[in-house]
Amino acid sequence: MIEVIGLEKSYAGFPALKNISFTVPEGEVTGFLGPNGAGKTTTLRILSGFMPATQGTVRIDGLDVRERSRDVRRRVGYLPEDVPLYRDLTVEAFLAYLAGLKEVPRPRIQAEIERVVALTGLESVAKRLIAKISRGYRQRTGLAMAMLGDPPVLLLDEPTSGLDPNQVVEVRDLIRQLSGHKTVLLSSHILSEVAQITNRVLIINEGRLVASGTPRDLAGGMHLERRVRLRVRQGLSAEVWNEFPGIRALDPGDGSFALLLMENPERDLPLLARRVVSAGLDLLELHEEVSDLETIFRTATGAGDA
Amino acid sequence: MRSVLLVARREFVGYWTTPVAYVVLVVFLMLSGIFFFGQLSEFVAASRAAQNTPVDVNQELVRPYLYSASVMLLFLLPLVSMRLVAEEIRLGTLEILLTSPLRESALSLGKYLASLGLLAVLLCGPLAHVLVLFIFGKPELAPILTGFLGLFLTGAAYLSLGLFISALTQNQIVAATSSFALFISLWLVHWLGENMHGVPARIFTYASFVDHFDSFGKGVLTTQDFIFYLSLIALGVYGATQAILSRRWKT
Repeated sequence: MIEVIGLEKSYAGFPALKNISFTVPEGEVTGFLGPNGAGKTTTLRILSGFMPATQGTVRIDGLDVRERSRDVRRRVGYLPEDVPLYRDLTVEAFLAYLAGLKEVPRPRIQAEIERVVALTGLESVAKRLIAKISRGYRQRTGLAMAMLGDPPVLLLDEPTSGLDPNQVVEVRDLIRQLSGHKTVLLSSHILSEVAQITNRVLIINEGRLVASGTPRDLAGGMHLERRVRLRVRQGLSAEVWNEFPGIRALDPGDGSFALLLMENPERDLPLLARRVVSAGLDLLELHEEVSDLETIFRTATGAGDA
Repeated sequence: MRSVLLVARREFVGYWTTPVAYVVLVVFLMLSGIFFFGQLSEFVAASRAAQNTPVDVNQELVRPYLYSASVMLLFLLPLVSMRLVAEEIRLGTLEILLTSPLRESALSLGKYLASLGLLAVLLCGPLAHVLVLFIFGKPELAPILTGFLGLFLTGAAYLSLGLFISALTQNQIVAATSSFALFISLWLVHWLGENMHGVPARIFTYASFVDHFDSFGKGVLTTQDFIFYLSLIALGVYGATQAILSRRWKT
């Protein structure tokens, strides 16, 4: 479990983080979203024990990061942004070195390396020099490093950066699998990625936490209109929804499909369904889409009107 | 202790993956060979000139040779110490080290041990040269051993101070240049001390390598000299640890 209370960080008097508080419950994968320079990396660096906060409290599994720094570092697997690696080592030698530093018992090191190499799909490059492998493999080496010693908490700073689309999918699947038995805080500026991997997001902007919750909670809290997909066999027209003041068309479609915006789907969805059926149309789909993260993000970070 | 040895091994192996260690080794062996040959030639000439009067091989050959070796180390060891921490800062790998359970003191101690390992390898050259003398003569062993101990401690003090400077910057050139300036200052203050009187003279003379190294060369082991070297070593390693710690605050 990660608890952050009133976290502040200043660089030479310039405030980079302003009174940030949040909790990541045990076993949950949480997304940490924000534009570049919002303070995501600074927050993760404080959580990982790399640098101290100017003010505030951070506890990992109940241990204060400042007072029990080494104990916290034993419990945290950290993937820094732009993964720094020793290019003169092979992937295996690098992982062996870090496993030693992470206090993995010597007889277990080889098995531990094999475990993380298999998890991150590094088998084909395990014996190659880090300098000679692609950026994607380097990113995966960083991820393998973070998982060494099987820490209960993972802090991942932009874990899919530099990966090709196939690798992105693999890493996302891997992180999704961690849900339930690892506490993961994952930073990203790619909204769709966070939406696919996590079910809860924290949004940070200019050093402040501006929103937190599931995308559905956030959309509700921001009173955003929600999207509804309507599909019938044929004969769909605006008359079907025009009588409802809380519904308007985002895309009126081609007679068989429409994308609608609803102020209150709980109230209007059943009414719309009845109206479609009473109009004699064959209803194929009536589905509420959770308001997309991009809208939430833009609204939360004040870029919504741009 | 395990983490100290891990860092030391990684660093020592890392030396040989860059050309620096090879260049330092080759240059040191070449120059020490030239110095030894020059010193030996002078010794042979002096022996011939003295005819039946024996010339002290320890005094006339080994001692000046080890003195030359210490001056060579003054120029070359900044190249060994410059990368110790500066390279980790530049590559960003300090972040992965400092977010592991590794202590800052273990990091600086491990790095320091690795550099001592390279120093030991370097000193094998002069050691081989001096051992050759035992084939042709009977030099006194004790002053040779203490001389090498003095040379090793001088190198160890250079490396410790170099480690500290390396932890202050991410630029290796800056680290090497500053280290060289500091090392040479620790020789030159002796000259300042000689031109002063009273307490300042004693302070400057004590702070210099010259007298301490000379005692070892003469075969004299004093607590004062050991304390001097061990203090410098402890100061450098402690300073490096603090500099690494302060990086957390600067980041």
